[in-house]
Amino acid sequence: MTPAKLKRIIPRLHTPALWIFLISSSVALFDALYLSPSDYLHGDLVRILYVHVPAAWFAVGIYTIMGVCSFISLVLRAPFYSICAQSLAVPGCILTVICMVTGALWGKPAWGTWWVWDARLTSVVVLFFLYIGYINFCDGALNKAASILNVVGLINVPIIKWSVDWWFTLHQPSSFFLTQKPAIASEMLVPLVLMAIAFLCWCFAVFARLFSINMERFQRIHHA
Amino acid sequence: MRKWGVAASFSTIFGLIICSHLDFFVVLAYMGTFVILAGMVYDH
Repeated sequence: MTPAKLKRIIPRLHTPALWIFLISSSVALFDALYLSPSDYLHGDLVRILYVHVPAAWFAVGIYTIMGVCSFISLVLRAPFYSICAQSLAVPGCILTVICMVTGALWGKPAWGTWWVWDARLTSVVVLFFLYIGYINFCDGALNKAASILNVVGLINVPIIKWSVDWWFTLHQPSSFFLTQKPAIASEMLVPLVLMAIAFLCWCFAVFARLFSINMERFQRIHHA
Repeated sequence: MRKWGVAASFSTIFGLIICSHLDFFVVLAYMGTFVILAGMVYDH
């Protein structure tokens, strides 16, 4: 699919993505808050993880996609990819904030503290500052400084992923693996996956809207 | 029509969270998350 085709298709997907988000989030919430069982150790507190984990997945995933887009825009000097990265930055940053705040709300009753400077939590704070830095540098298409910061910041992605294995952290290790079955009960896996679908649709709805705004602004500046 | 549909969907979402009668931290986490998500949808 060519960038010219995507330029026409992406804005049209905003409304369907918004409706799928609203429906899937209602179903996911019903499952997460009413149907799924409590944890034997943490009780109902485990339900926080149904929003914390998808927020963390997409915060890191969006940053990685932005990094790839920024790299392509630097190499090809194509504004389309730079506009894609710009339009993803705000939803990614918001999900990072949701991840940190819901993590703190889990940490206080479960660990006895809102915050610790362990490797996982610190690397997520670095991700948050990378997002803020990127948004701050953005001033239109082909913003070289923002793209370079984005690409250099990609080094933080494997650090976030493997921080719980490389260092001794208060944060628990990953429950999802590429080659093994997830270390989580299926009753808890269903609301987690449903919430991830809802978050994905929200990301796409916001991205599609920001993409059409940024593209319109770019075309207005360059055709003026 | 679209505006009312979105408003009804978010009312359902917040209703589900409030009526769950769960722990304060759980309700706060869900409320905070969905207020932010709804805010972004409303804003754009």
